[in-house]
Amino acid sequence: MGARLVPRVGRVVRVVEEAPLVRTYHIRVGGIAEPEPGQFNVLYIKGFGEVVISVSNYSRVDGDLVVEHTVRAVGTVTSYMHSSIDTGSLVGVRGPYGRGWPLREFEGFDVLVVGGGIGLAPLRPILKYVARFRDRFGRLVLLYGARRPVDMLYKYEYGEYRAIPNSSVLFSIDAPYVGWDGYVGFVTDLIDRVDLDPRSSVAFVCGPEVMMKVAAAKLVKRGFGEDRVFLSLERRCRCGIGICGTCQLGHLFVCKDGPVFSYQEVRGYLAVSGL
Amino acid sequence: MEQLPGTYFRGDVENLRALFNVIRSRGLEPIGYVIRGDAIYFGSLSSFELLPLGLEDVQAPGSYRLYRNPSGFFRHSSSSPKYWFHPPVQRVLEVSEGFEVEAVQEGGGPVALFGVKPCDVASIEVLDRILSSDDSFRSRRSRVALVVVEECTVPGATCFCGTTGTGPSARGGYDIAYARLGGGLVLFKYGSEVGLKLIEELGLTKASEDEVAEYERVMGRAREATSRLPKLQEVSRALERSLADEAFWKEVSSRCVGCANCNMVCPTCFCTEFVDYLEPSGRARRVRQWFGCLSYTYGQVAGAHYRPELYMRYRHFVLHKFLFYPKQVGLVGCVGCGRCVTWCPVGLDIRDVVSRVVAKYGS
Repeated sequence: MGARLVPRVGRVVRVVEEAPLVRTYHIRVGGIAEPEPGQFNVLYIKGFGEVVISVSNYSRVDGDLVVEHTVRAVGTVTSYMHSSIDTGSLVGVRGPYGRGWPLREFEGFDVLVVGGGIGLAPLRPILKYVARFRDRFGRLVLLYGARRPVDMLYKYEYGEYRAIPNSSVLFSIDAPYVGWDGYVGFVTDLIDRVDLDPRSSVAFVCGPEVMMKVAAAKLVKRGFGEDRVFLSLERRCRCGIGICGTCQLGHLFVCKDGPVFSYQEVRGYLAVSGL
Repeated sequence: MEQLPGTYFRGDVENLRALFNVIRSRGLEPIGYVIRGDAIYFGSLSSFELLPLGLEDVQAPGSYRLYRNPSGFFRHSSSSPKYWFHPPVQRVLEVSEGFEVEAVQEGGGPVALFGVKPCDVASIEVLDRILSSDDSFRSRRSRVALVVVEECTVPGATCFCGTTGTGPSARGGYDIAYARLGGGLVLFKYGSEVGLKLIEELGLTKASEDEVAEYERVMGRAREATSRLPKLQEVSRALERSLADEAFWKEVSSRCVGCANCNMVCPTCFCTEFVDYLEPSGRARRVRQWFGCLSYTYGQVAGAHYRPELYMRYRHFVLHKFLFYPKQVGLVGCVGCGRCVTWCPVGLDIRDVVSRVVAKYGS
């Protein structure tokens, strides 16, 4: 069996409690390439299995990378991670894999980022990227919604996002909550309040699939081209490199053709249930 | 290499045995259909006697029987080349107590495909493309040093390789092809310089015009018997239009039980899942094994299911072969071997499904 399915061994150097059942693991690992925004790694928990998790941020430390993975405890491996993987634990890392957000292609454009719940994780590198290369993009608008205020990710960074020049940040929660003075409703409702010109804008969307479909349809209605709305999709990814076959959406392999697709590429497939 | 007229050679089963022995003496391990107990598998042929030459399979939708019959003709069994090239269970990793990761390496010398049917050779070409990033597959594939094809003079009742253009005659990609005709006559042809040299080495004489005419008559009949389905382009087009017809797909899959037998026997179904083992000592092992899209858990994730209903899973199987495979790798994924028809416990027949979709959505 060849090298492509063999993980590098990394060590957890920090764990951030983001929200109920959501933690961000900072894993220091050598020998893997720098991830592009929107790419993912496959994390291996010894004896339990692998999970495909987007890279939410990374930094360089000496010759190594510290990759950040925001993980919700929802299945067997992720629940085990939350109960047993902590600072100092060893974790296998393969990657980075997949096609990320086409940021280089859209330099000079205004950028709209729409996130729902855990879906902010793969979008976070866009915010970091635009902040870092601020002069390469126009206006930046972040719309982010979660069920409750407590479920929102990266709360400690919102000041940083707001401080990005020529940007605005709008939040929503699903139902009224004591002390919440922001918008109540679906995050996709906020699309109506966006002051961007669709002709010179690109939209990056990630969240539950139903939310992404609503967002994409709404954006197209507002005048965004179907080839200027990008979604990061989830399917049952196992290998991450297009050989296990189980993430197929129509003829597309979500792991290697995606996970980021233009709405144009997947609209027809997403419209058919269970394809 | 172009097959020039008059380049057919005549021989018999003893020449086939001689070819087998020459191949072995060159240090190649013949692999093909091999008798093991009461069944036929695809794997290493340690002796010529293990070839299913005196056996005949009788196939029908949902039915497979194997008989001893010295003059019978063997088509294939449930086991295809995928069994050797992309084995059902593959060890991936061994991980120590201290988390040292060791990739499982496997070696092996050169092999020769021997007596493999045209449909199955075509299936290897499909796997070549879909598993082009699979190190395990590539390593095994690179061991193939010679290809000897047995053409199908008497196709089975579930065969439709004429429709898929993958048989019953050998297409390219072989060194030697042979056809077993009546009366013990075996007609040989070559597809490469290596094949020609081997044929010369066997001392075979050229076939007579009558023998070639007989061969062409037999193969023509075989082609006709396996070519009774709509054209593949029409199938793809019709399938594309049928995607959202939930009622149609529910109806055609209504007898499916979701067992995934079709996936296991299909020579181009390549999907795998991973299974993890943890020993009390802390050692762990990662294994990769065949996995079928008809299985309930195939599209399931924690908290969601991407193909929760059976019709969706059956639809994917059919769409993938005729619509998605061509878009992914430029080849139709179905090689017309008919195994999914034969080994389906309820005899659900993909030929009927394909015909029905064309009847409803064809141009």
